[in-house]
Amino acid sequence: MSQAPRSLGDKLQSLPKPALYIVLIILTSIPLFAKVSIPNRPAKASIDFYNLVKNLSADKPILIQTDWTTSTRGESAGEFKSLMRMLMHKHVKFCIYSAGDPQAPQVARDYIDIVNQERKDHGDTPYVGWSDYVVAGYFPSAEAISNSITNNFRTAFQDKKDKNLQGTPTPIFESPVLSNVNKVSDFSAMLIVTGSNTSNVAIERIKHVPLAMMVTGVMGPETQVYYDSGQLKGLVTGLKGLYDMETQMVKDPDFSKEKSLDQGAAYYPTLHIALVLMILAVIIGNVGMFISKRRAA
Amino acid sequence: MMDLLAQAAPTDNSPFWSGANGSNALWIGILVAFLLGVGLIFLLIQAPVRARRTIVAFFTFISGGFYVLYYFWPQTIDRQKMDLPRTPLEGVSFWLEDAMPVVSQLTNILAGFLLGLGIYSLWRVHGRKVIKMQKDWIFSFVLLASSILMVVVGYMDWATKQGPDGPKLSEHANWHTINYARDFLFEGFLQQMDAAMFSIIAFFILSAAYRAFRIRSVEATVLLATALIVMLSLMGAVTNAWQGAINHINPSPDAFVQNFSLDTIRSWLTNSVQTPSIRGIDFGIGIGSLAMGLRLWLSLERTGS
Repeated sequence: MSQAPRSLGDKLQSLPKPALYIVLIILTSIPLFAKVSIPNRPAKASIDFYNLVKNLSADKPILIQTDWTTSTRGESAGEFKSLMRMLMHKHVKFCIYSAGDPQAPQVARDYIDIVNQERKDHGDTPYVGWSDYVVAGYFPSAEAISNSITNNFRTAFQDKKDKNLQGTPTPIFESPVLSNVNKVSDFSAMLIVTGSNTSNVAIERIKHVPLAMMVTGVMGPETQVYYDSGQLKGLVTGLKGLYDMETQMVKDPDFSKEKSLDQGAAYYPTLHIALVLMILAVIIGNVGMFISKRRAA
Repeated sequence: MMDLLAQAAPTDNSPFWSGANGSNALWIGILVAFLLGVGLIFLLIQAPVRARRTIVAFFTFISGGFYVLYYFWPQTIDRQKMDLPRTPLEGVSFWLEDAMPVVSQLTNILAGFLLGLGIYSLWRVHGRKVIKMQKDWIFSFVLLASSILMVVVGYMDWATKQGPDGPKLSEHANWHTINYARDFLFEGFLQQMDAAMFSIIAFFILSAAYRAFRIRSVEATVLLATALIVMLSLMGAVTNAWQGAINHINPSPDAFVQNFSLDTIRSWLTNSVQTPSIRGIDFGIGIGSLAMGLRLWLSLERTGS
């Protein structure tokens, strides 16, 4: 028995998956070959984050919790790089640790090297590990270390070592970065760059220091709650947040020498295309459903 | 070869188990701790099942009790190094504050053991599969070979970086073969596969949105309209064009029509709909976690026994 020919409605509702995937690959690849500048209106949360970092004093270090790896590098790497560019430009010393992923400290080191290389290329002095920043490594329990940081920062990090200028592993409190730090309130801010829910763990436990976060688009909605309540002093969310940071740097004369437009500007057009494609796909599916319903009626 | 047990010289603030690097005290401490650990585990295994449950319940209660006390007991305010407690209540507060770093360290060590336990379990399951040549054993073999290779190369790379050439290795020109091997495996392989795996989600999201997002009910229509507004508001080109059209009608910031800018609608959705909803969900999760935590703390959970 031969099957009845499929109606237009049915066809629109059952486009083959490979066709969708191929269209997605082709369209999202276009921005790789054509540079497009997209206008932007930064969100208030991103503006607050930017102002917080911009107004940091070089006299006090900051604490950075970095919990992202390359699985979310599309957003997190760009956020981290823009943060590093601002901190290095302002000569703010920082201490980095991770409570989310054992790979994260190494990934952070790699991206610090990338930003340092940019500085070398511009003729700026590169940031030096040990005297300008220290990496305290990985803590397996995010809950425990967050409690400990609030309770007694010095004891929490007392066993951590980083290489000194001679390359010898040395307790990090001997470095110029942490020499004057005894408690968490001695940091001017704590910034968290994360691709997971370690942001929630931190916000539940970290006290006595201004907190701000750079999160992925997926983590955005649940982190937004804490920004709205005032617990976070700034929030950068996903690719849009990253582009907000970059466009603010472009307009800021303070950062005229820095590489401002980078990953955010490169990926933002791709986000546009992907979202347009998704909206189109949803419309096509619904149009197909209406045609089928009308035909059936 | 690196001294795996190398550590900083103990200071006044170091805990009592920090022995001097290479000292007899350090070795004796490690040996005693190891024997004590093995002995305790052996005793626990030998204990009758009923007693085992009681022992585990006792330690669970003590451990949980510490955190309950820490959060609910009045905390010290601006305590100075030389301060002494004036009342027994303050004494407990001081004790809790002093004990927290030790408990946190212990928690971190236990969490570290969990990583080891996970690796052991993974190797055991896949090792058995390879030895017995079960279905798809080749994938298990690849997993084992990859993890062993990464551990060996990673360790050797780390060892060269701790050696006399360590400081020079920040420049690629000074790298040895093992540093290139680590870079190839970690940066070139693992990190790229990690990112590729995650990027596959884009395909699933597109496909799922196309097949599932249908206007079949009022709720689905509201959901779709909200998603559409949020998606459009993420697109700078669209928000700017939309704002241009609104400004064309009435550019005054106080004009009624300005309420219909994408940013304003999105802010309203975020602040008035999304945030309260998520707070409600978080509140529910919090109460659920509290109930679950109480059951675990009091050892009322009997599953898996």
